[in-house]
Amino acid sequence: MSSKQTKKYQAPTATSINVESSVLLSLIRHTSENYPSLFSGTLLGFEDDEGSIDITHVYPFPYPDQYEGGSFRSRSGAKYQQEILESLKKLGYGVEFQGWFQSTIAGNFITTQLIEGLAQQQLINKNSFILIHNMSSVNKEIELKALRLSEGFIGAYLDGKWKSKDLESNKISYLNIFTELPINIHNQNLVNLYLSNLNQQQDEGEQDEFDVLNLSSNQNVTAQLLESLYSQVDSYNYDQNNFNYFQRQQQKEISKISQWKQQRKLDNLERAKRGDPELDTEEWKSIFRLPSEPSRYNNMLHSHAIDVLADDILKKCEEELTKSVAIERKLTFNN
Amino acid sequence: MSRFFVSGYNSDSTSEEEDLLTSDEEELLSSSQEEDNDESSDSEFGNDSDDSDSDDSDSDVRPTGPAYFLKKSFLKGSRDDDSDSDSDEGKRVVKSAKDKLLDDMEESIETINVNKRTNNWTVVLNEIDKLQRYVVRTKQQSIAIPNFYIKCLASLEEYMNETNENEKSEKSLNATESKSFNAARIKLRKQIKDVQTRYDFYREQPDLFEREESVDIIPSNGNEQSAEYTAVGGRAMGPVFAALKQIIESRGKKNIDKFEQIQTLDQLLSTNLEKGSAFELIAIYQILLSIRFDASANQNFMPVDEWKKNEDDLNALLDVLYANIDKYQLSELGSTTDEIDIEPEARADGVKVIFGSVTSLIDRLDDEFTRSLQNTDPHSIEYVERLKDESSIYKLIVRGQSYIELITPEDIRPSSEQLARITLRRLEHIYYKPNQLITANEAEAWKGIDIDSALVSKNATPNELIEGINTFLHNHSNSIYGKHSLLNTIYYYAVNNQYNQARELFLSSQLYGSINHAESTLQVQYNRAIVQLGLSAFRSGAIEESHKILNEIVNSQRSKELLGQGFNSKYPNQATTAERQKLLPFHQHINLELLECVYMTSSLLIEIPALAQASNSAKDSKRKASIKSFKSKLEFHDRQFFTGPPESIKDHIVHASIALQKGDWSKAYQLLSGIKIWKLFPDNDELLAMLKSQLQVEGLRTYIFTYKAVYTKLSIAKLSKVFNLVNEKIYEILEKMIESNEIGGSFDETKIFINFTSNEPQRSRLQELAIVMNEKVGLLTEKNEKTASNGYGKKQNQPQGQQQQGQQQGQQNQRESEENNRFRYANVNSNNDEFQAAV
Repeated sequence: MSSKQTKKYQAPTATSINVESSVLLSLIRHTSENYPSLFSGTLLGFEDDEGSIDITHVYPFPYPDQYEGGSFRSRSGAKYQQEILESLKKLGYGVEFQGWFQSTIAGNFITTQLIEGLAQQQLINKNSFILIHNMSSVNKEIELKALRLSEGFIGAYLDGKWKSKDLESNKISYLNIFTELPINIHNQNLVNLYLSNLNQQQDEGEQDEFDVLNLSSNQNVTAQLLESLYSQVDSYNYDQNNFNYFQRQQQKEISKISQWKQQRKLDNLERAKRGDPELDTEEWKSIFRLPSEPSRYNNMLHSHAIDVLADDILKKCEEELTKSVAIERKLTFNN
Repeated sequence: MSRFFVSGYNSDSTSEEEDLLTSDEEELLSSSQEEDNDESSDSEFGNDSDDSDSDDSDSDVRPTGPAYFLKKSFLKGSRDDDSDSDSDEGKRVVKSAKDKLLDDMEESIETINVNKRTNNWTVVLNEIDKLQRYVVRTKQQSIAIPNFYIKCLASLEEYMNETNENEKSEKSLNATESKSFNAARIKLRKQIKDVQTRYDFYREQPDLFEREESVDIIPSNGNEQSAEYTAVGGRAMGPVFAALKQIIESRGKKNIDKFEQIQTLDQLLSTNLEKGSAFELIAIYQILLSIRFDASANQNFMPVDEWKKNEDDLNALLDVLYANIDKYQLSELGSTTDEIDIEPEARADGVKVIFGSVTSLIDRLDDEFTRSLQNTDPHSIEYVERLKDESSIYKLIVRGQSYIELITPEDIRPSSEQLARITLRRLEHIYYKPNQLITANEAEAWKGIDIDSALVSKNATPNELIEGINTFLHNHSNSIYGKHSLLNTIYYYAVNNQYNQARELFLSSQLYGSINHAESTLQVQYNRAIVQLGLSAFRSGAIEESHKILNEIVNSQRSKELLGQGFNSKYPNQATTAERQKLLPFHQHINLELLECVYMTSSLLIEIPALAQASNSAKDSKRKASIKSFKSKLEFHDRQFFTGPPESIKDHIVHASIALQKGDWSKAYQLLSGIKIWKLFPDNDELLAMLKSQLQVEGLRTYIFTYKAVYTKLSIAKLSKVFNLVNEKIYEILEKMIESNEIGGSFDETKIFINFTSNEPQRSRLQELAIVMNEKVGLLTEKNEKTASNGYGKKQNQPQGQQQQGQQQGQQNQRESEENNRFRYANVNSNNDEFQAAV
């Protein structure tokens, strides 16, 4: 992190994302079909003058990721990305690299690798962003978010210390690591046509409409969410332990210092009575040394992940509760 | 003999001889002439002048190595202008060590002769010292003491006596010379004493010593002469004892041909066998036997033919002893006499007790037997051939035992070491054998023995035999015999399927408390007994006990060492001979593969049901931590990519266990019974029958554990059909399982079905997860609270808690006091005051 401090960060100018529907379709198809393995890929497009980014092409990386953000900075990923850009250039496309997409489950995407990759990219191209496809309700809903690291976060990132003070001065907390960008989907007529064709085909089966009435709970996903939440909570607790230790050390030192100050004050009073020159009251700075605060970086990431996960679980719970109430009604009605 | 020393002595002598040459040349000439007459045997060197001998170590043996070149150049340079007769190199002759020694002696004697005339006693004293050393060397090289030495001693003594007489009248010697003179006299007397017999003989017949060869007084050289000579010895020592004494004296010395001595003794024996007195015979046998043992002491083991001879002779000795039982006894309690030919004094009953030990001789013979077995390849025919001798040595032991019993009075038997030792020997020969073999052994041993043993009668059954010996040794005053015999007895019981007796004996012995401080042989014996106990438990169907007993030894990774059957270290060559001799001969080994097979089978029978039980109830898995050993084997098997049909014992057992896991007992039985090593157990069929029934029971248990969650009820008749057990038995097993809370269930009234009930909550995965989640979130809150309160969680929590209590005081007061009550009972001592207030 520290080596990149020289780079100047500019505030992003683009405020919205325009995604071609064809891009969206191929993205969703790729990630959904490969669920539960995780995939990421490059988003290509261009910035327009009105402060938005148009994404016109998407190319997933050929291999699934072991964890979120794994391919962003890997050598093979970068090479693949480069090759695609070059091939497109040969074909006369003027597209540029704008960001990545990443499939994930709820809050799991917040990994150090992903943050690091995104931060580096944002330092190079102020408008780069990441498209997160949350697959926690795969095959039912599509949950897409365009995220970008907030300015405050990048500021703290450039400082690289992640002390509480830094967080405060940059005005960031776990809630505003990212700024979300609005996504506009730009439908081409061709896609419209394709979709209506699909709809027609499915109408013949007439299954889709009843899918909403499926009452069996999707336990699997909920369990998976819970397990993810576990591991995040565990890591969080671990980190918190370190911090608590620091707190205690800090307090010990502070109490020592205040004791020392008290003593010095008394000494000085006595000296004043005798007419001796006063001793330096600031000497404690050279005697005592406060423990250095551990980085709050991980804490922040875990907090955010927990936040997102909890939100998702809440959503699931609502869903399940609605279903169980429906079942209960049905059963009692029958009786 | 080292050349080095020779040259060392010579440098000494040169200086003296220079001195001598300058002063007394005439004397030297005359004395050398004298000697020429004496020593015709050394004619070759007789002509040599003294100074040539002075550097003989350099010149008479061709120097080798760097010294060769050095000497040559030096000699050439120096000798050319020397008129010495020896300077001619061509004349140099290689002398044998013997000749050289004799030469040196002659030379010394000459010097003495010269110097004594001139009263130069310091020189004489020196020379006497030298002579002394030479004589010692002649003995080492087994050269007969030369006659001229005796002669010299005699003449010197005469002369010194004369001088002494003279000295009394006229003091002609100065202080130093007289001092040396006195010292020389003392030394001379000592030397004469060393060869007293010859010296006396010389005094008697000086003309005999004029001959070349040294006078030999070994009887075989001529009875006439020795008889004459021994008569002179002052005390009547029979020819037999004279020879024996000579041999006894040479014992322990180097360079003695033991086989020659054995031959001599054999001859002696054969000549005396007919007419010799019993005392003589006993003495001869004793010495002959021990010399034979000595002869092979530096070999790995005694050669078989030597061993056989010793065995025969030992038998013959026992014959003699039995025949003369009312006259002589050979016992460790006997007393030694000053000379071997003196018979010990007779006891009141007229029996003369000779010092000696039949036990030790038999012990030694048996040890040699064991050693020869240890050094023979156990898979060769020689081993088997050698093993056949066991019956004869056993017979010998039995004979020896009954002999010692005969000569040991009833009252001192419990404290008699020799009797205990030989009895223990006997036990050690039989304890590891099955009954039939012991019976056969006994029958063979008692053949041709007329007397009976009081300890154990001739016709005792093996059980009586072992028990008799054990009782005797147990009551012996030295407890070590008792321990050995106890362990051997346990082993015997275990081998012969008397598991309960063995177990009781073992438990009542309390040996396990002190065994770690015992010596290694006893420890090995202890381990053997334990292992055999475990095997016996297995055979008698006590699977759990067997598993418990064998567990430690099998898992120790050094069972070989623990059982005294080899070394586990990588380099067996590093073991010392002493360690190696402690190993048991192969035929007494416990088969380690069999041991492992038994252990694994018992593990299988115990662990497979336990495994099934553990895997189907989440809570119990923590409690049962002892079932790891087998699980790891199964896991290893699961990881294999390819598993062929079972080949090794381990394969069989693992396959059987997999079958048993599914409740397929018959396949498990097939696999287990296919293991060939069971045949090593004597009653193979019973064992397999036991295994079968065990597998049926454990298979049923495993089946129930595994599938109880699937069924709500099971028909006992069906189970009986599947597991080939009668209904009652199935009922019994199931009831036991229910009683011990292993399964939840009950029988219906007609006892046809078992109903499974489960009191365990059937939670879904999600529910389980939610419960864990609850804990985690609790933790999380706690951590956050901690952080909020600057890292100290508890201190700041308490006031909060108190606040809450304040809100709900009415309800909580009661509960709190209850809790405090309980708490107080637990630690009464810690904080009584605090809580008394609360109550």
